Amino acid sequence: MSSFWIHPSLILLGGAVLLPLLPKALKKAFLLAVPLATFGDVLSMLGAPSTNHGVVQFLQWTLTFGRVDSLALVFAVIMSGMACIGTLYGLHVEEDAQHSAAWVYVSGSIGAIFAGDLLTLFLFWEVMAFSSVFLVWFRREPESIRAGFRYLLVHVAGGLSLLAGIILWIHDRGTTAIAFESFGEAAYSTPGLLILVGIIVNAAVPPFHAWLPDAYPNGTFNGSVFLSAFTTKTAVYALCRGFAGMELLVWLGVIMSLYGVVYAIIENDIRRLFAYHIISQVGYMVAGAGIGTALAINGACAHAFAHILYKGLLFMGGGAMLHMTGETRMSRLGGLYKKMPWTFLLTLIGGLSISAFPLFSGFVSKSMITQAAFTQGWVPAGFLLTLASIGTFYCNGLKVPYFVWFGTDKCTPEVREKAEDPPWNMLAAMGAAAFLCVFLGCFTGPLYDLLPNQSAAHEFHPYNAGHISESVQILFFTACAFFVLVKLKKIEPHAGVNLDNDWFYRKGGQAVLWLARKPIQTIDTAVGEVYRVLGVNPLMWTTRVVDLFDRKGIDGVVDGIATSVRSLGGRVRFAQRGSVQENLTAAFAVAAILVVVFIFVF
Amino acid sequence: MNLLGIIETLRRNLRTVVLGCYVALALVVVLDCVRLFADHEPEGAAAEHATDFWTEFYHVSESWPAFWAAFGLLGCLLLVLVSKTYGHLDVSQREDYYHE
Repeated sequence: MSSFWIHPSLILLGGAVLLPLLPKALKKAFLLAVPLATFGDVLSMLGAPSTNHGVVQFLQWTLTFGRVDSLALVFAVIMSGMACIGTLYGLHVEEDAQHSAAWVYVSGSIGAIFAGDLLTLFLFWEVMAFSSVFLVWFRREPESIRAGFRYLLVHVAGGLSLLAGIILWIHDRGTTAIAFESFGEAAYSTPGLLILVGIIVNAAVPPFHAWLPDAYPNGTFNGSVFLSAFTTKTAVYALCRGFAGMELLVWLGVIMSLYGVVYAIIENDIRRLFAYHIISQVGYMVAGAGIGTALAINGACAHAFAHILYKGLLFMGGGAMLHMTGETRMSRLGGLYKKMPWTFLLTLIGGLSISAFPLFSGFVSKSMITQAAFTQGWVPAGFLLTLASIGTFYCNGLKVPYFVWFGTDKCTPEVREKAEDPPWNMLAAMGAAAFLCVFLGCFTGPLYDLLPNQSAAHEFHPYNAGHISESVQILFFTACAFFVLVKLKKIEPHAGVNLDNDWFYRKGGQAVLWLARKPIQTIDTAVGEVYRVLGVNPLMWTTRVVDLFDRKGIDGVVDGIATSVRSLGGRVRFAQRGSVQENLTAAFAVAAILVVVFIFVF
Repeated sequence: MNLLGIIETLRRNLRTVVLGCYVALALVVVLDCVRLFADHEPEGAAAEHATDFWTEFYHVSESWPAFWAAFGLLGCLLLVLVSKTYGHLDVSQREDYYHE
């Protein structure tokens, strides 16, 4: 392998800058070429893993932009691949800035993945936050603008925590200790915990999760496809790299997986439902990172890989619904299988993949984590994660397909009129993702060969009778329970929002506004009145006194002096007669007398 | 491929489809029982290593026929019940809650 190495982020960044400058005729080809080139660039690294590239000396720091190893590569491969699918999905979007923002966002993720030191990690971490918010803002709805600001607020806070942790870490250990490696025991030190908080904000671990279901459903139809793939999975990578084996993460992961499911079950908006399932699924990965064994880390990576594809596919399904009909609430949809059959089938494949149906991608990845939990000392966590997987199938595999494409038709005439399968490029992107979901589920080799712990990967066989029987029992009987509940009319979707802990800062923000409007304004008026009574009025009175003093006092004195000077002038006037010659003579005479006196006296 | 045609055909024969589902449910349980009885050395070796309650429980539960079927059915009902109850604790609000 040659030493020639191009950072994949550089290709995306270059593409993002060049895109608006290109003539219209070339744009579509360029849109496909840039992510494909990035993907090719990453694939070319598979030949020579475990090498460092792009090592730069900057001041006293040694920055490593390209730490290429198997853990980084498994994430980089799927992220660059998803950039291709996501760009294809939004190919018909005319606005260049949307594509550029998405590419900068992906470049931030890939840059963070390849970062070999904490400072480079932070740099790309922030690139990610500040570019991804545009994918929300470009929707241009008032609610999206607001959600974007909230998203940015949370991520800036998380980034600050990360930065504070890094600074303290370097302060404690010196400038040579900036390599991003496992924190080991130091994970529980102050810098370690600050860095951890920075990372789990991005992983959407409760209580730092509410930004995700707030912002992602408010993104553009294609922007949310990108959003669903990168931020949380970059955080999962960072946890696998820095905090593998930290027991706290197992329980955080379990809480996440159930928390997301509970909210998803009562959610009405399908894109928000999918967003809650990101939290739930990332919970498995966080738990995997926390268990930290070779099998569990493999599981976290494999599940992130599979998740990016099936969650992208689900968001593409939701995005197709939004793009075509403008409606994503289940209480206003239903019976659309006649209008959007392919969207139905492809979204269903995503739903079956996330539910870990045998022959779909989730089956071969999620089971690594649950098996690691069951066999490596975390049995209760294993049961709870399995319980969460029931909710996953219930929502993604059953509820969404049923209430959107079947069930009672609750569409408005407008939605019914507009509903049809989306343009070819969107269907092609969904088809590609769906194909990969099935392919990975049927052929485990390509995915397992990418995993960081190769011996554990080759020992793991998901398709054994016990595991298949277990999964099929759970899935079929979950479906049975679902249809019983449908028959009993217990789970009809209802319009409404579910309050999450973003309530605190949303209502907190409103409280600040109310404070500004009501008490602070009242206080301002009161202070104004006090100022008028105690300040302005005495001031006016003082002014009048000063005026009087000025006119009567000062002016009197000044006038008096003027009068005196004038009367003195009048007297002096009589002493001179006005002739210049006489005056000059008198002056010279006096001068001469003075000179004579001067000479004789001295 | 006429996807819509396939869906329509399935819907027209809904009774058959539902019957097929019942058969599938039964088959899954029966096959699990067959698997467990055919498996001669089930939990014995593993259970000996069990050190704590949960590990032991896990190994024992693996030998119960249709354990995961019951887990799926009851787990789903439990999750829906818990979620709905949670939603009713003033968590679910009107759509314009944040914009009133």
